[in-house]
Amino acid sequence: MTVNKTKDGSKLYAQITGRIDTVTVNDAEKELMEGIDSVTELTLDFKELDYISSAGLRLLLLLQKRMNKQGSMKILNANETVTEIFEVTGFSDILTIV
Amino acid sequence: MNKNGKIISKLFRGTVASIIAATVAAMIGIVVDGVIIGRFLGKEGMAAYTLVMPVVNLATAFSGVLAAGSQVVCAHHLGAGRKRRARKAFTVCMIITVAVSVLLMAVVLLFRDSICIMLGAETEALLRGSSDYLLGVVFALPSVLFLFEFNALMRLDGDANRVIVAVVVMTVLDIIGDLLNAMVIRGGLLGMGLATSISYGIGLVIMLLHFTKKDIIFKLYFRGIRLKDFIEIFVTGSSSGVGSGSAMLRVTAINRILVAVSGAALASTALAAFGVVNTMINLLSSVMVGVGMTCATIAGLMRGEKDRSAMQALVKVTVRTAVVLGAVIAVVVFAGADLIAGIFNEDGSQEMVALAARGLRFYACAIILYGINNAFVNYTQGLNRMALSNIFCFLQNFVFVIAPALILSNFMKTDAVWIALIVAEVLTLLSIFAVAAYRKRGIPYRYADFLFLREPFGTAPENMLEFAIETQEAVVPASEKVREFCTEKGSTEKQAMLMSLFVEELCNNIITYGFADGKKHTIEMRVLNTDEGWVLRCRDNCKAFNPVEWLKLHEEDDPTINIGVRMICGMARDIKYLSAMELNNLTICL
Repeated sequence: MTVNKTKDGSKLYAQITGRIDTVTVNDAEKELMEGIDSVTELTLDFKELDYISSAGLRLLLLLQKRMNKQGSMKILNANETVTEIFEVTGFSDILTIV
Repeated sequence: MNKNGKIISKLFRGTVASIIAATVAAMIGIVVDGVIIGRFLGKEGMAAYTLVMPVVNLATAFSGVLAAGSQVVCAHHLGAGRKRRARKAFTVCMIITVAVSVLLMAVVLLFRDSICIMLGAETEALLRGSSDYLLGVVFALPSVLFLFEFNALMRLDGDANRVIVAVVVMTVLDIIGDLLNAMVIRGGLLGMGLATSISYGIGLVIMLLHFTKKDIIFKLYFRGIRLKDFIEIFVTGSSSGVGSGSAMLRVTAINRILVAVSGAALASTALAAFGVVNTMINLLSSVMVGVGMTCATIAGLMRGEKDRSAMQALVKVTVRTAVVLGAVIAVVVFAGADLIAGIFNEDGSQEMVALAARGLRFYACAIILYGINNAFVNYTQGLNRMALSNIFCFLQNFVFVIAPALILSNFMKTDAVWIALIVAEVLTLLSIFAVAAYRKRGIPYRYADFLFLREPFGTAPENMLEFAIETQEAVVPASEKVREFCTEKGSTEKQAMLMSLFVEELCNNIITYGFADGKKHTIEMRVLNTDEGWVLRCRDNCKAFNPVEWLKLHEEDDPTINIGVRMICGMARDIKYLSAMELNNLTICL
């Protein structure tokens, strides 16, 4: 799993590649939380994400709760299966999926 | 990732101990009954008790057929996820048992004296004694019938401890009741019979309390019962009947051989010696019967799940257990033969003791092989290979004993009978090898060569990935391996991802909540590429947990909790859960 970040002022764009599972979620959290204090707009690009487990959903929830206080968060380019996971778990009501 | 089979081995070892304890406790009760009657009521009392035994043996034999049939049929249906059919089979068994109990009691109560005369009560004293005992013991017959059946079914329903408690209580109360009757109440043979009836009745009540529990598998289900359901139980249990029947024939035939070779002067000594050996065979073989019953039940369960690896693990642990237990019993019997024979020596006949001890030592040499052979008879019964099971059973219990005994008796006298016990087991084992060799078209030497499965059985090995998980660290690598396997076998990306996801989520949940009791647990998984689609089967030995039912109860809860279970239930096409023999079994279809 890799996280490629691009910061533009208070906007942070992060592309996640690979899997977010029980093992990789800690690294993902560390990467995404780093410097988040000054971020008001967080965009997560899931184009290269091919697997997300409940550990990943909990991380998204954590990020969403954080960004609700200081700005906004959206998710781009989730594949069909990941989108379906968001729907069956009710996360499509909590997250902003574009 | 570890290999599968640990759960079955652990289940076998845990179950066999309690089944043996229950079977041996019941046998001890019967033997102690005879000893107390012999000691306190003399030869006449003992003769009357012995005369009536065929009636009790008939109930026991019938119960054996029903118990064997219902346990294998129910286990098979449970293994296949067919709870209703398992309940139907249970209901059929209960109907038959009630009907037979009522019939047996009515016939015995109405025709008591005629039955005793038919069984050989030629004097007035013998008739009175046997009729009194029959009157007392007739009320135990329903309990005898039900107890054998419940012994196996309760284990399937996760209530094994109740069986042990019931049998121990029953045996202790029987012994106390017999002693009270003999020394205080002095109720004679009627009192002895009633003591047995009361103690067995209390044992039955303890078992029946199981049905007051909430989440049990076996409840009465009358819908759609057909004649074929009754036939299925009898056919599947038939090898138990074949075993009892051929054992009775064996005893009769051996008695005749002994009388013929011993001559008039020594006939009663030889018969008495064989009586001792036969009593010990019945008592000690109950240990191996316990091994066989355990094997048959688990084989039925795994046949329903079509789990080849589990079958192999079962055969391996069964043979090893039979060898170890057989070796221990063999050493004890061989070393203590004189002492054991002496317990039965009422008349101070040293000749009888010597002959019986010799017979016991020969029997000791056959015990290990008896255990292995008996296990295979029960295993094939669990597979519903009834022809094979019945043939092995009849050969082992009758043909392979009597034929050598007849041939050898011309020049070895009574030793012919003892040696025939060993020859029978050797020939039976060779028969098992011969069948395995025929199926393999080669020399069988691995456990896999002795599975006797009807092919095709389950999913072909190349379309299946099996693994076991015991630690958190093993979960994600297993999940990744599943994804690779699915992709290799031509699944879509979505299918590969979901199968991988189910593995991770299931294992994480089981480890978090099921492993929390601090005991050692195992999760066994099978990923199957079937004609009907991708299937994930998960088995663990943690406390019972049905994720489907759980989610139904917590549907309205905050969606941000218990995400893993929601993911699985939301993304799977079908999920079936079953708890049997204290194992959680989950089948998830994509």
